[in-house]
Amino acid sequence: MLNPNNTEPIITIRNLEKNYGSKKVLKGIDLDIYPGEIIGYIGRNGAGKSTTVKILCGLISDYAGDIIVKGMNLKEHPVEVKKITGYVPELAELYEVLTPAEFLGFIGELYGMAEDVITERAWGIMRVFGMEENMHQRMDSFSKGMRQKVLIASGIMHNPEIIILDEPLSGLDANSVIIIKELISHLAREGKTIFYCSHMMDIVEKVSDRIILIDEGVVIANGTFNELQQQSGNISLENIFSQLTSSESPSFSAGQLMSLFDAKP
Amino acid sequence: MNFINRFLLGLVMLPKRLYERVGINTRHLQSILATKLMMDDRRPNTFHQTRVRRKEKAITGATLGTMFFSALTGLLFLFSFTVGENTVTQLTIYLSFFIFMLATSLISDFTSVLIDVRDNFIILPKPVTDRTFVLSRLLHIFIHVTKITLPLCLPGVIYLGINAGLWATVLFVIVIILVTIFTIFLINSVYILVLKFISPQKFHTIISYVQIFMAIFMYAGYQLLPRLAKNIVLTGYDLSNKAWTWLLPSYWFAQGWQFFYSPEINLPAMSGALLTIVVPPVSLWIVLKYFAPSFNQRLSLISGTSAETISSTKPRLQKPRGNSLSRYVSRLVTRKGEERMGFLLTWNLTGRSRDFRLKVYPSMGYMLVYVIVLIHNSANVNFEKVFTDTRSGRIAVISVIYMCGFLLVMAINQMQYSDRYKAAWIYFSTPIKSPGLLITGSLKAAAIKFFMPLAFAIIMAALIFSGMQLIPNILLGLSNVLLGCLILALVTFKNLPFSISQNASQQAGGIFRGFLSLLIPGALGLLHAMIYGIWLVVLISLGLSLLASWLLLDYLKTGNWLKVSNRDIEE
Repeated sequence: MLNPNNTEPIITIRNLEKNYGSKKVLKGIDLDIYPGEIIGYIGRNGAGKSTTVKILCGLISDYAGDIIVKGMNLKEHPVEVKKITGYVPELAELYEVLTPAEFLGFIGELYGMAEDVITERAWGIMRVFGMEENMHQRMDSFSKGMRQKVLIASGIMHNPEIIILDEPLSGLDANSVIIIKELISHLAREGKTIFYCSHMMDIVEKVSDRIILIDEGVVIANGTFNELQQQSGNISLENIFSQLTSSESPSFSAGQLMSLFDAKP
Repeated sequence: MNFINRFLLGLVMLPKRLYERVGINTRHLQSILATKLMMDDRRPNTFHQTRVRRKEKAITGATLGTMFFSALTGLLFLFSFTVGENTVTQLTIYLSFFIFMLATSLISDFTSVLIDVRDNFIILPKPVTDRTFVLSRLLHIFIHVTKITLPLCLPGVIYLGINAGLWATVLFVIVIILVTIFTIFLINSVYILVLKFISPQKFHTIISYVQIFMAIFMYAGYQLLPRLAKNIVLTGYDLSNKAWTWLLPSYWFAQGWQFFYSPEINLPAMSGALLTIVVPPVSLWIVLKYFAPSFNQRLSLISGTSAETISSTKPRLQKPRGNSLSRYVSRLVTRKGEERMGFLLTWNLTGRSRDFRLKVYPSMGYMLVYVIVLIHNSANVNFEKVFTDTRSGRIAVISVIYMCGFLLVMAINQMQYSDRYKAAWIYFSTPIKSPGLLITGSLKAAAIKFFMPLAFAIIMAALIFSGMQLIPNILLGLSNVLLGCLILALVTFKNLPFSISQNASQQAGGIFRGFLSLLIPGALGLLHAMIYGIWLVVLISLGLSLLASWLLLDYLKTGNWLKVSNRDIEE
């Protein structure tokens, strides 16, 4: 297992369980995540990815098990943990009637940042994203990509130690994707820990130091891309993923689909 | 932020020291509240939603608009002081309206304004303590309620101040505060109850119906109350000392006010006073103790982001319910292909699109209210006169039929537009040969859905009260309404159903269309009125009208008159 600085893990998850009613979504997850790591967190739809992320961010607080972040138990010190965490949610949930300047100002306030720092960072980040002119427009007219950029800005502007990204590249144009990918590796080099959730295997493959694959609420693979390659004998993460999570081969499923068109033109 | 928001924010932030002492982060509190109030100011309220927006301009100052309407409504309540024999009766009526109004506006506001589920994603991951967050919500609710209640009771306060003196007014204000607390309790109970029995998805539908109902109620109030008031004054209405009035919470509070204003030792006044003092604190306690904790949780279900809602919608793979009727009808009146597609699309969208409902149903309600007013106004029209051939009877029959025709006209006028107009790409990516058929299908759906039931009701009423006598004229009227709608469609329905957005560029033709919507059915109605008594002419006209409708429908099917463009889709 990768442990870059031989330090203590920044996030320790022990026996994490979560039920929705009678349905068990997480069935005992154990993870150690070290400072400066980029974790690629992958799994099928409904595997429990988003639930893990929501628990880590403090959106869900009724879980069983322990989560220790920087020596603090998440249940006992939620506010302290949230201070050092940045979250970019998957659904573009933002207050659309606000402008980016107002929204980011509000977020900065909640993180307790000084006013001049908020202004400087908000404008700086948006300038890099090419959205300086949109700072005073209401977000209800924004495209999906523009909203995503605002969300990313809101997740990193307080310079957090842990950044949790849930499908952060959806809707972004090619240039912004490159910027974000570069940004992720820069942040990791500075010792930030990145928790990256995505369905885009090719990006996860390139970006992550370590890949964690969960299925039906349990971790079924955990290692560097090379380790996973050797274990399974597959070349791409896509194939490793489908081999581990699906009982039928993709070409069989595709064949089934094609056979639907055979009967009538 | 306008001065009212700034003032209220300053007001609730006054006990800053106290907040800090109990571990509230006042900086967080201040910025959350400021942001919330700023958003309130930009959110379209019920009155915006039910109106067709003239321009796509950003909403500002929504707060002031809402408060203005509130004050106007409060002015309307004053009529209750002109009614009845004693103060208790008057106050009961006033407070009933007050509770009703506050409750309906709060019901629709609670999900969209006060408990915003996006907060879960935006505020919860930030380092805000639970206590601060909960207090920010409570204060936001307080500010919001104040913004509705204050203008709503202001006319009443002024009225009492002038007519009944200081002590009466002070008591009145206290009673209003207690009533407000009680109303919040009512709303909470309704929410909890409704959410227990109804899936969160349906909840939004119910709320939109509440909004529609409220808009119609307001209109009906302005139209009917002054007229009704006249009658009630004459009969000398007295609510007190009737047993059933104890079912009205407003009566308790009215009795309470009476007791404290001029204390009398009698059972009704004392029990009223007791209820007034006891009920609001108890309800507040129940809200805080039992409702508040589960409230949030239940409301977050409405957003549909929680896993429970996802799993609950999954097993619905069986045949879609409720479709059977529309499918059956569509097979009767349309041919396979585009026409049936247009029919089913219109049938389903008009029933399910919140946007369509909010635009069309209120105007239908206004129209019904207007018909009632019309009948009420012509006091010399009574049942006998309508169903025998007199001049006033004629006017009544014709105006009812053609007025009901306007319902259909309104639906058709709105049918080209949709919030989700971009979904119209489906028309252009599929090999549709004759777009005209899509529209005739739509028109048929609208006619069957919005006109048939009324037409049926009118025919039945006529049959029951006067036998066959009125039927030819009624049939002619109904046929003319359809003909009028078809002509209107020919002139104004130039786009595919639900395919364009309702913005400024289309509004240029709006006045023209509005004019035609009145002119065409109006002209047909006038012609009808002239030949009303002449049997033979009525029958011949009926034949002609039907023939014309049939030919016109056939022409519409060709689609030659359409200006279908994908300009809007490419935007």
